[in-house]
Amino acid sequence: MRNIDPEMTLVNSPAPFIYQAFGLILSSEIVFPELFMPDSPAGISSDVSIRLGKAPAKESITGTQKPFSAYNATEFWFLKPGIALYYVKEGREIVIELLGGSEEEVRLFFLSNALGALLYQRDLIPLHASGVITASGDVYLFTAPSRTGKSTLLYMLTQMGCRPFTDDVCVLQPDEQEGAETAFYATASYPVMKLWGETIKKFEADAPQAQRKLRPDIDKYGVNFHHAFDTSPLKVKGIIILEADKAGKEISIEKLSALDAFRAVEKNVYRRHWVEGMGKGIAHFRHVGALANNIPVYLAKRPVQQDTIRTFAGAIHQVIAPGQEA
Amino acid sequence: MSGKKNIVWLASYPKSGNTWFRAFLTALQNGGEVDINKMGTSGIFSSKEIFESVCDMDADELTAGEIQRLKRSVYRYRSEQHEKKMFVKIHDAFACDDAGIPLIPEDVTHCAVYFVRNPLDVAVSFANHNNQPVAKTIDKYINNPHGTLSNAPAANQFPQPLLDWSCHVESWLRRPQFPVYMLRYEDMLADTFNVFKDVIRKIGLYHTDEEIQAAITASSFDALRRQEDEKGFREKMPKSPRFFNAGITGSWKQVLAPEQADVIRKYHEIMMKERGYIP
Repeated sequence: MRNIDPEMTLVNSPAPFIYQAFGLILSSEIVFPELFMPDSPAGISSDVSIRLGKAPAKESITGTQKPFSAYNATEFWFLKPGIALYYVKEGREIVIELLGGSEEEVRLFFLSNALGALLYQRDLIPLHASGVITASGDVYLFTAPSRTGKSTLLYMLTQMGCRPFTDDVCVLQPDEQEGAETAFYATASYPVMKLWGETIKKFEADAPQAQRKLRPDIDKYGVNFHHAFDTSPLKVKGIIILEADKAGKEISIEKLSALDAFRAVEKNVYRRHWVEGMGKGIAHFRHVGALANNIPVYLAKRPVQQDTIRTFAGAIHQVIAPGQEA
Repeated sequence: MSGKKNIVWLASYPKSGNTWFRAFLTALQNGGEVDINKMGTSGIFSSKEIFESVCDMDADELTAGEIQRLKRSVYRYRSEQHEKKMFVKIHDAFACDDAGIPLIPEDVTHCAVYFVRNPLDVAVSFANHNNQPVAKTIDKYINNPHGTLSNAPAANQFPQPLLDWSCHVESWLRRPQFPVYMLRYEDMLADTFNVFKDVIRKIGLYHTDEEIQAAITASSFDALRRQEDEKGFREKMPKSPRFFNAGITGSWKQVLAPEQADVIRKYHEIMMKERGYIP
């Protein structure tokens, strides 16, 4: 594994570039410093092609039509005005039509939306989760709605010595070898943590590894962890639901019943509002049900009345690495 | 574009009766029952979650200018998706972007109900809401021409520009091109039935006197406070002891120091006179 040089250009000479994300091999006409480049890309066959071109008209997409997107089970059309238009087809092809955005902006909306839609098209339901790899090589995932503190917690756990697994999204799949969906494996997205400048400053992490601004006018940064990234599917040891507790005064961590686990995990599927429009309702229900029945799911509450993020990270660390000092 | 004008904005400076009226509307449309944690109205204009579900974009990865422009599309889309009237809470002052276009889409707006309350009482209630000293509330919000709610970048709501209290009132009562029905909190308390009955007719809702009375009873201050005591209220600020605090007029007389009342009266003299809060 190696760290990628963050220097890049959008249209490059030795294309295609080969990357690995969510366990898929991507062949791209443009450079993505955020993505992981396999060690021996020569001759590798790709699952997905990414190219620059002209996207079809929005009206040609049957199914859900929203102000900036249109989609069905096999097609996804997404416009970020002034940046780019993205068209994802049959889980195999992504076309990017440039509309004047900077390189990092074109990549940002590609990574959050085009890749997410691609996963749905391939029946890989993505979970809105960050996670770390345990000493034994399993993973603990922590999931929650946006702005609950997943990335901050991931960052703090890495400061405590944990190895980062993924930030914000991963895909989960049952292990067919073990049968009856009793075990689940998670595959990471790509090796970047997205952190607010305020968070980086607060925890005194001056320029940790390669760090770049996500957009010129937004105080949010991508922090690389290519050097520690693992592309293989890893067994999920547990899922921790993070909750900002408005009323409570104590940090609490409790194991949920299968029913409560189902409800909690179901809410945290990435881009949950795409499930019906992309025709994945049944697959989603079955997948989350199996997950909730077979993986330990915990609810971790953090009182928001006090500044408890360090203590909270310590409590989560005790679940992940019992007996080890944070 | 749908061509429907079905959004009713429930607009107010904070702590001016907006939540009470939303509870009343919920009860009115729900057979006289209201759960304060499941209000039947359609969210708040500053919600990032609503914005993201329509735009398919992460709100925290957008610039302030982009958010302003995209929000109009979000509410046009929501209007199109709603068959009936939809009631949207808003604390933002009524404002336009750099091109002079209102930040809320007027083309899908039916009307607004604007709730106004004596700023002396607002200061007391808002201080309790934020669990902060009244003096700080006056400086940071009531008398601050740049007063803004939810400024933290990772907050669940977009920043809500309030301006100062007078400018907020003026922005909503003078600038919109659609009808704005003003309700004074003091009148809502003094003559609840007639004030509420009158405004729902203006909005275009038709209910019997019995239905209106049942909704008023279900959304009375005591009933809402009892619910908050029993099961909490998710709109309460974490540090605030309670959301439904006193619900009366004139509490400022016991709480504000004379100089604090004077500084508010002096700053807002013109608008307070216009609204009948200073003779």
